[in-house]
Parts: sequence; C-alpha cells; structure tokens
Amino acid sequence: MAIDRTSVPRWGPEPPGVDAAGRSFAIVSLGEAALPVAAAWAAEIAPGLPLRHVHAEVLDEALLARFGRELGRAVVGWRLMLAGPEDEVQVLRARAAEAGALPCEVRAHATATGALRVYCAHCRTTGRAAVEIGGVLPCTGCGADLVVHAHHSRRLAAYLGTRAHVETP
Amino acid sequence: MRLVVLDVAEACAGVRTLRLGRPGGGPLPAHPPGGHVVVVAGDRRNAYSLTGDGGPADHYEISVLRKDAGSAWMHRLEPGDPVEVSAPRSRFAPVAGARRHLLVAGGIGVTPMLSHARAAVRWDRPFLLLYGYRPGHAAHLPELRELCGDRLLEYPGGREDFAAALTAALRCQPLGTHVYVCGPGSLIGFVLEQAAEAGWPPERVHVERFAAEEAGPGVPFDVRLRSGRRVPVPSGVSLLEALERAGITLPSMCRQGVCGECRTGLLAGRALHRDLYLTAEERSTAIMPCVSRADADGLELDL
Repeated sequence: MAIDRTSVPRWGPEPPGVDAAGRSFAIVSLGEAALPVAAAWAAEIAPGLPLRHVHAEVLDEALLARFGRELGRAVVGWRLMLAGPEDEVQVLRARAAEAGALPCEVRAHATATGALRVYCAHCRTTGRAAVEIGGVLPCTGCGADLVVHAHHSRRLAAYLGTRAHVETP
Repeated sequence: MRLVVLDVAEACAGVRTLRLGRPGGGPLPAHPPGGHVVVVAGDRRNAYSLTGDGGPADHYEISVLRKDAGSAWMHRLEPGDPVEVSAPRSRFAPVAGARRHLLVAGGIGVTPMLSHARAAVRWDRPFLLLYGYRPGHAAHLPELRELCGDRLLEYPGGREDFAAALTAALRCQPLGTHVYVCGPGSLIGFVLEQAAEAGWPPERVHVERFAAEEAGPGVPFDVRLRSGRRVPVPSGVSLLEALERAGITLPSMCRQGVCGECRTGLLAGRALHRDLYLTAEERSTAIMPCVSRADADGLELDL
C-alpha cells in the first residue's frame, strides 16, 4: 500500500546545505562517518559567524548534558546541524525541539539507518534495536514482543511499538 | 451580532475606549488573544483589535483612534447606542509552542499587544513588551504598567531609541521566542528587516497591519466574467463596488483588504494586488476585489 503522508522520516542520500540566513551555528557529529559531513558544513558557513562543532563517537549522557547547555545559550538566529546515525540524530533533534527550535532551524543527515528506537505503548519504555518497520523486537521494559509501526514521533524520537499478535486468538 | 455600547472612556488624546456587550447582558464568543472584530461604523466597516485576554467575557473592549470617517462615527457613540459587530476573528494569535513572546507596539498598535500581554500574564507565559509612543498619545499606558511591571519597556518619542532597542532585542532573544508587531507600516518594515538581519526565520515573526496602505484611484479597466460578460471598473471605484453596481454581490466584510471575505478566483490577467490577506502563492489564482485592481488590460474572474 502506498502511503502519501507518513510520519516516517525520509533521508536523502546527500546532506542538506547550510541555512545561509542563520547568524550562529552548532554542528554535532556522531561517529566517524559524520566527520566529513560536518567538515563540509563548517566550510559552507560564512567565516566570522559563531560556530561550535562538537564531535563524539556515540551519544552518551555527557554529550546530552553538553548539548542541553548549548540549547540554553542559543539565541534566535541560531541553526543546528546534526550528522550521525538516524536514531541518535533524532534524539538530539527532539531535545532541540523541546527547547523551542523550529523544524526549519534544524537540519540533519543520517549516516546510518540500521537501528531504530521503539517506544512501547504498554509500559512506555523506549528501547533500541536493529529492526525494521513491521519487524518484531522484545521490549526492554516489560518483555512483550513489540511490532514496530510505520509511525514515528519526533517528540519522543521513537517509533511506536505495540504487542505483537494481539489480534490473532 | 447586535451589541450595545456599555461605556465610553477617553484613553488618551484622539483615542476612545468602548466597551460593547449584549443588550440584555450575557456571554460573548471567546477569541484567541490578538483577535479582532469588524464593526459597521456608519457607511464604513472597520476592524478593531479586542484588548481583552480572549477568555469568556460579557463584554468586548476596543480602542478607536480617530482618523477616518468610520472612526469619527465610532467617536460619536454614546452608552446605550446599538452597534453591529462581527464575530471575533483571529489572524494574530500567540504561537502555542513558543517559549517566550516578544511584543512590539507602535502607537495605537498597542491594542492587540494589550490582549497578548493580558493573556500572557493570565497563563504565566514569559514575555516582554516594547512600546513606542508619542508623549500624551499612549493608549492604555497605566494599565500596561500595572499589568507588565518590568516586562514593559517604554520608548516615548525617541524614534532612534526605539529602533536601537528593537535591534538589540532581536539579537538576544532565547531560542523559542516569537516576535509580534503591530503599528505603523514603517515600524513593521523595520522589525521585519532587523529580524531577518538577525537570522529570525519568518515562522517566528508575526505582523498585524492596520489596513492596506492607501493606494491611488487606479486606471479604468474591464473585468470579464465566466459567462463572457464584461463589467467596466472606473478609476476611483473599487472592483468590488463595480461588481455590486452591476448586480453581482460578493460576500464582503472589512472592504480594506484585511479580512479575506471577498476572495475571488482569478482566471486571467495581471492583477495589481493591494490586499494584506493573500499569500504570494495565492496571488496567481485569487484576488481581493475590495482593494485590488488591474492595469488597462483588465482581468478575468471566476464569477
């Protein structure tokens, strides 16, 4: 069945360009594959405009805390560029939106799309696994087998998972 | 709605504040902050911002600057007089997801900002109001001072002070702020320009204009209808009036290019758009005949 409108993110093969209207920028790159993307963005930003580039191999609590401080300091005119694995990029994008960033102020590129974050509709735990939409994974919270729906929440940075096989007696 | 004037007060030189309510009392429709009503003012229809916070109320409060025939008519109203008032409309509501609201008012443009400030106080939303005015001509100043405290910054008279403060404010607002501006066209133009300069995306910038800028009478032209019929539009007569004289009545309200009521499909021709309603994209397929016209080549309308 073809779906015209969907909440499932679509990633282009090429990273988006830098928003030339921005007056200050933050780039977060996660993993080695994101480094060349970040470097190309940095080169595109007009010299003299404030730019902070943070690189990490994985998204951990320390980086999230640092990112939170960056969001707290950001003033309107700031633009965020994110490169890294899909699920980690989405976590940062959700944090930025929570801090008040508009979709047009955040540009992102997924360097890998293997793993998904899945939110359990029953126990509300979010887990992460190498699974595809329509696939099944065990919930790390309640242990139920969850089927992954083609339904993505930008706020939770996760796909919806509900108990598999509940409709078959 | 048929309402009556409950009371009239002099807000400042040239500005009267009117409270309107139902003849027998009772609740009026609620509205988002920054909403307005269209009032039948003699032979004019003028849009006035509602200054209340938008919650359920048994009266609407509007402040009228005396400047044209319609507002002069409004200034003659006495308590008890009937007035025909539209349901409230909204084109200038606070953005629900905003983390902070930067309000900018110039002169009588303070009226929707008073509504925004009242709602922000009521719902405990962070805000700052920058108010530029001429001394002695500042409507609602005492109540704004009491309402806003240090969240009100005043710029009496000094156009340069106001401009410098606006430029500075637009460069230091935390992420998540939205800016709202109402006032003379020059103020709105300045804020739009400075916001763009400071990197504000258009999605964060919200503008309320008084009315379409006064434009000249225009050249005469013909309008063609789908039936093939041609209606002449003389210089100095609006397209809407010319159609009405030819017996073609369109729904219309403000007749100032603001409300959107008379929107009409545009099939062919080069329209001279003078309204404040249609987006750039819509202008290739629609026209607001109350204010917009054509050059001598005329237009074809979907009528």
